[in-house]
Amino acid sequence: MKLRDFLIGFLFMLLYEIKRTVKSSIFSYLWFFVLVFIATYALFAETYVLSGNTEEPLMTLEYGSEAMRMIIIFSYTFIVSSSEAVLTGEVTDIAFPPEIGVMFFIIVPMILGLIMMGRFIMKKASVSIAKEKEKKTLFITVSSPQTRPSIYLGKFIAVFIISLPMIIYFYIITNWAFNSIFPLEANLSGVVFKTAIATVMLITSIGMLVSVLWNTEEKATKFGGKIVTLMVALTSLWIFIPVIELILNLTNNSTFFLLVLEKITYLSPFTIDLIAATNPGLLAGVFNVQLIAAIIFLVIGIVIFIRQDLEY
Amino acid sequence: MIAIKNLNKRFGKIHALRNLNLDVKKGTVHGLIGPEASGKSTVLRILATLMKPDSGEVIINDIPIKKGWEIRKLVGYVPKTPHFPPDSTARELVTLTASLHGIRDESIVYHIIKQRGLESVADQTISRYSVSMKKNVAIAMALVHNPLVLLLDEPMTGLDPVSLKSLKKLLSSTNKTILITDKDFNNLEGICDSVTVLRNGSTVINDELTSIRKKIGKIALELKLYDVKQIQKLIFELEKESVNVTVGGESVFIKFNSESEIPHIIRVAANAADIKEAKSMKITIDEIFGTFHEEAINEVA
Repeated sequence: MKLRDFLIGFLFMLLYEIKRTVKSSIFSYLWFFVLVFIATYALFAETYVLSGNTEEPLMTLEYGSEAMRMIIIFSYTFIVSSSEAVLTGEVTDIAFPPEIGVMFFIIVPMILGLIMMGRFIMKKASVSIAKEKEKKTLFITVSSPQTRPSIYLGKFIAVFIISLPMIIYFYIITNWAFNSIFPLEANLSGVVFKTAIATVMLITSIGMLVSVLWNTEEKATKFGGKIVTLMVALTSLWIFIPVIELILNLTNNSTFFLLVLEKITYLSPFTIDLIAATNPGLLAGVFNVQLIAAIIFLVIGIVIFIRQDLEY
Repeated sequence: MIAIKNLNKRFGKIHALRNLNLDVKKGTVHGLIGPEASGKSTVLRILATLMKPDSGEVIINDIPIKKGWEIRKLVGYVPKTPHFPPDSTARELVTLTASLHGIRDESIVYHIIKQRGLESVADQTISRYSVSMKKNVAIAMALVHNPLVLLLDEPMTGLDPVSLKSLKKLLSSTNKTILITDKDFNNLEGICDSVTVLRNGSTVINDELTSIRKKIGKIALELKLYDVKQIQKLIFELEKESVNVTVGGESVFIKFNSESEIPHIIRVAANAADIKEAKSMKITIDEIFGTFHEEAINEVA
């Protein structure tokens, strides 16, 4: 058997994996498409103007999500600056500066989309080997001339490929939102596209590692689900750190506590994505960090898979 | 063709294989016989590179087992109970296996599916298949790349009579090197050139089938009497002739060392009792296993 035959065999295996995985993904795609659309469309309900309600900030916050910081500061400033008019019976129209609109986008459709993709990918990746071990169907590929690393990579690539429709849709939606409602030159669609790719690769490699460690579909799915939940919890915490800071500023000064809390939340790839979205200059670094982490998890998974005895 | 030396495999505290030695000559069919958990499937899984041995040397066609990729090109493996994704079809699976071996000729897939009697159901999902049909799919997948070595883990269990006959015909006519296991020892009679009897992962006997038959008695005769009360008298008379006599139910079994003894023994039996039916029986591998298993136990004791 020549290398060419091996590669053709690999492609066939990949197509077979993709076909099997896509079959069970139709409803996940639909949910993703609908919810991300609704979350983005909700942003169209507000007005975004370049000169809208921009006042000097009356307070400063230093830790956690920049998006949440900006929203809190803007809301606080708006409430304070419009309170006089409200007391005289006038209702002040709120017009957001487009930067605040972008922060709304980052906090709602972007984080929602990334979490949905993360959950979907983790589920697919975490069962890819565990389910086959449980159902004893691995012998089909494992007893063929394909090597264990090529089988592992085939499954990894298959899971990554089935996430592409979501990533592309997410990119189109972002492009649409930025071109339609935010009167800014900056368009986050490229950043969103790259962060989504990096996150999907990282979560796929973590999911594959989970899959190779567990022997049943149920256990692998549960464990994978817990990992995503932890990631979401950490990112939620990061988003709300400015709120915690606001509360703590009223009572005592806990800089160290906030600093440690913020560092812990960096363990979640969603946090890293949001940081890159608010500071596109950090994108290259963020992308590389996630890529290196994905490769490390991938290599660990392959080594474990090579060393495993398979019943079938 | 297949050489195994001092093979050891442990699963935690269980010693699945203990210093196993095995030689299978090129183009022969070798049977692995043993009770449940004797290590038969483990040997096949190690040869198919699904498992790694703890120690020992395994060589197939002069290629060490560590070169898994090269070994898997030579080998076709049929698991004991094949499981498939329920939504796949036989054609998909055989085509996939062929592709994984670098075969893109659809006529080969068509031929092998037809040979295993699956052409009418080849495009139906596996979830509709019977156990026998699933087994045939696994056999088709193992044969599609025309391997030099076939590793068959109880391939006949669950097969329908037509498929069983066709598989036996295939195995007896092929020039491949075959290692086959089966719990039903009768299934291997007439197929194997040599056998290895395993017990607790160790070899009890490893020999050519013909020489094992000689050691035990080549041919057996089953006699049924009109009057069961005559059994004792019959045994008494037959034992005078120094043949091996056993009683099973209402039948008397006589084992011979040579076919030439048969006419004389039948005459002796006919004089001793009224014989209702006399049936010539081949000694099965079941009996071979029983004899050598007892011998081994006695040796250990």
